Amino acid sequence: MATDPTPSTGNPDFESLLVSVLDDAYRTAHYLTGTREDAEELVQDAALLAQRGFSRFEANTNFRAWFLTILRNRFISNYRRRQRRIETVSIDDPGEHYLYHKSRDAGFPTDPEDAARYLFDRLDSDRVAEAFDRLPDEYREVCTLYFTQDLSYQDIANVLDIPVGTVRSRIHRGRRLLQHALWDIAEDYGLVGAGTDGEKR
Amino acid sequence: MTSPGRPIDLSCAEALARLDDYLDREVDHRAIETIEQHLGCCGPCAEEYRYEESVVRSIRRKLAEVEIPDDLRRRVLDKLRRIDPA
Repeated sequence: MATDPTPSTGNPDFESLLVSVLDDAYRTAHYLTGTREDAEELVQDAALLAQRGFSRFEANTNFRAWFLTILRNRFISNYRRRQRRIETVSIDDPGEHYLYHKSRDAGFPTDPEDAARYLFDRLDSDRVAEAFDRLPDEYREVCTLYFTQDLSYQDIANVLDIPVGTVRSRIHRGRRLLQHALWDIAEDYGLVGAGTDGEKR
Repeated sequence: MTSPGRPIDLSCAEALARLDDYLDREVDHRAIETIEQHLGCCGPCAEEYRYEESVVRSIRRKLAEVEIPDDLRRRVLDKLRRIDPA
């Protein structure tokens, strides 16, 4: 007789909700902690806390945001202090739409269906993760939630327990800082610059 | 920056300043209409918008590439059962 390899927690409502957000939660945890091991431990810790506190979850509200709140708070209390940053992006505001202007100045070809494709074909996911690592904490948290989860500004504000106006300003500024970091990394690795195919055409 | 033939109620600077909120649909219906009207008749702003939208989509795509550990679901649920059985 076949057996179900997935164990049951004895709480099917909680289990189905948890399973529906688990992969995305892991992605968020991965970019918050920076390592696979810490990401999995963080997700497991958050899952345990969520199970214990599930009676406080209000039915028909946003479970994803509720679970991410737990995960983020656990990250703050147990993981953030472990991290060491060697290099951070300059917090000087690089201005709006930095990559658009740099790519245009460099003469990158533009794909009509995916305008930034030329640049991102040269930036793999590890380089993008490195750009996140260069962001100051308050911007990295907001940007991680913004880019890994399908959440509104208000949902992100609820997760981080900060005003929605602060979320908006951090997302806007965080995007600008992230674009600056991405360009710096592309240059650092020789992915763009003198001799790069497609430039200065 | 304004040009002949563009809507007079939204300059390029104003449109670009609201592009991030528009991209995230964090503006009201009226603002969406106004910005779309501007983008519809301003080639440079439309080009900048398309690039920005592509950047956001590309970053999301890259972050989604992170490998989910095998059996993550099973191991998380197994740990919940062992540590805190219902």
